[in-house]
Amino acid sequence: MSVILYGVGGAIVVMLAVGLYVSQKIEGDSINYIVAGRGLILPLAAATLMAQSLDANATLGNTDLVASAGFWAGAALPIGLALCLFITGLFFAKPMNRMNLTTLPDFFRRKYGRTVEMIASFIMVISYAFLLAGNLVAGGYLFQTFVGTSYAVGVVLIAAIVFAYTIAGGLFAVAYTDVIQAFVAFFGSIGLIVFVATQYGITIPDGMGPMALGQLTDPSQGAYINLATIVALGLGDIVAIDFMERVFAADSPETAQRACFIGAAGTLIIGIPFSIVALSSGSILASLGIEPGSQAVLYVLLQNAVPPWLAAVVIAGIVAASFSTSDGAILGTSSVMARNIVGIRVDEEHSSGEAVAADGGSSGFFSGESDKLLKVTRLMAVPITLLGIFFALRVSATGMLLVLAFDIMLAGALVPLVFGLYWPDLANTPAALTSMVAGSVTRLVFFVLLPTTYAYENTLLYIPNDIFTAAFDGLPTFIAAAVSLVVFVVVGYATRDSYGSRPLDDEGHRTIVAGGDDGDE
Amino acid sequence: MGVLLPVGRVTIPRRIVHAVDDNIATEHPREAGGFLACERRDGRLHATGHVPLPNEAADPERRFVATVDERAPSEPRICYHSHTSASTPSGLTDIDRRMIPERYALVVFAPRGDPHSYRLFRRGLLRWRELPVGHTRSGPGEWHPLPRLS
Repeated sequence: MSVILYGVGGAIVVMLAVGLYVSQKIEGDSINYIVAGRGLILPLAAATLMAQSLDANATLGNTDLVASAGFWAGAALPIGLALCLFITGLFFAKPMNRMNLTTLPDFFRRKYGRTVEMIASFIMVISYAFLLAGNLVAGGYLFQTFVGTSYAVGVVLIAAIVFAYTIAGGLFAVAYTDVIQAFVAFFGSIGLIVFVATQYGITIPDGMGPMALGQLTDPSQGAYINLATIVALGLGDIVAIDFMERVFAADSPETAQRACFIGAAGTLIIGIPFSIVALSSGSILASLGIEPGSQAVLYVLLQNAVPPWLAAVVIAGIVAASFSTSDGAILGTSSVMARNIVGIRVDEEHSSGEAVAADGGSSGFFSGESDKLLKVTRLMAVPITLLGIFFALRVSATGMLLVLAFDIMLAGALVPLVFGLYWPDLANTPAALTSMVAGSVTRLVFFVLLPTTYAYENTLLYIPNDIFTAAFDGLPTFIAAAVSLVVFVVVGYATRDSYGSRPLDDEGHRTIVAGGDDGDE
Repeated sequence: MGVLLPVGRVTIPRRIVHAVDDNIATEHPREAGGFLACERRDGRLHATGHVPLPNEAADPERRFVATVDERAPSEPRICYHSHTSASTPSGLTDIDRRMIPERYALVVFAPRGDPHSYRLFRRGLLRWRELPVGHTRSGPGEWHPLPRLS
């Protein structure tokens, strides 16, 4: 156990040291803090996207789901995340990077105005509070199992470490530590599958493997849930504030695009081996005469079936995945709260006399040398981290709330983003507003009418009925997104003559078109 | 700050009204426009500065086109433009309603380059609403409406 302890401890010390060291790059400037001065080169941008997409859910959750429900149930997580990065690279990275945005809701403000910006921001902040909590939960259990702390101490310890280097170094600290985290996760994942394949062999139970496509076509084998997971992550995470923050931070549109493609490949390379190892877990544990019980199957494997040095690398990789997603959640959420909800945009306020502190000399996190957005963003990290800790310690249904929150983001924010970029003439404020509300409300209504959400039992608010059974689980993801799409198009057409869209040029600037003559445009 | 109550009326000091008038007269017969930097005081909007913008329209006698970039003052601000033909309305046209992506819009009706009417509108969620607009002539407490043609 001491090897594992040293491995995890060493990884944490290195991450903390690197994070605090690179904090000097912030220089009192919020743009350095939130989007790393818009100067991330390809290796950093790709590593931070890859590390951000891989979290405890895509590793631990992945293996548990594969062991209990088959390859596609768990692999849907890394596949969905990789699909999201691939689609983002293909269609969104270049145009979004060109716009010089600082947070994703900035796009909603420029295109649709302040009300839409606020609604999008609230949806995103709540989703990410649950994402943070979900990763703290996984980390807390990991510390309890392998480090010997209590669950609560593990949660608080992880939150404190991530908080410390995140508010010190912002996206610079996050990106540099993400490089370490991506390497650790990569070697852990590859080392694990090589060891398992050579020592035990890969055994695929009947009907559970990647070629058992009934898992994607037969509702009785969980096809709706598996497809919904891929769609919810693949499309819903396009409007993820942490992914887009890294797209904005890339040093050029081309870098942003390539980083997305490399991040997608890395997510699959690291995530899929966990799924394959989990397929063999039943036969490995049976050969060792071990019953997994209620513990996470990966933890049981690491404790009993692999040498301590390899367990230490894999666990450090999971800790790293958990850290890298948590730091991104804290940074992304606090910057959206400061910039888009409180409304501080010093980089756009040239006439206000409060310019961005360009040459810094900051002597403290909240010193007078820092610009106002930086100070408030760092302050907002405090309540966000406390909220994440509270959810992790007090709310038992964190996992269910996390998937629900991301479903609401898919139903609420994706259609206005896609139309705003690719069908701008139809994309006006009433269409965006009604689409966001209709999609989100539809998803919430289905939530209270269904006994399960992504196979999690609805213990929060379920209205018993005979119409929507557990067999319906997974479909609300598609229905809510479809409602959002239909409402957007209908309202956009209905109001296009009375309420025009806000034209944006390639750099995201709005264009004013006015005139006394109402003749031909 | 983010969430604030809507303003009740708008005050533009005489010197800024003159700056707007001069810009419109200089540009005539082309439509002129730009921004008024503003600040909120006691639930009212007060103009504090004038930023003229060049008209980028292909047919500047019928349209005013400008890009909202780093030249634009921070919000709150008022976007203004002139209607320069006698046949044009004193208020917002359909194009104005649909294509001005700003919260406040001031329309200056100025046939032959002489401003006859100033009408200010605030963009609501679904429609534009007109607000009273005036100036302070002899002291901060004295507010006089600017000329308005319906």
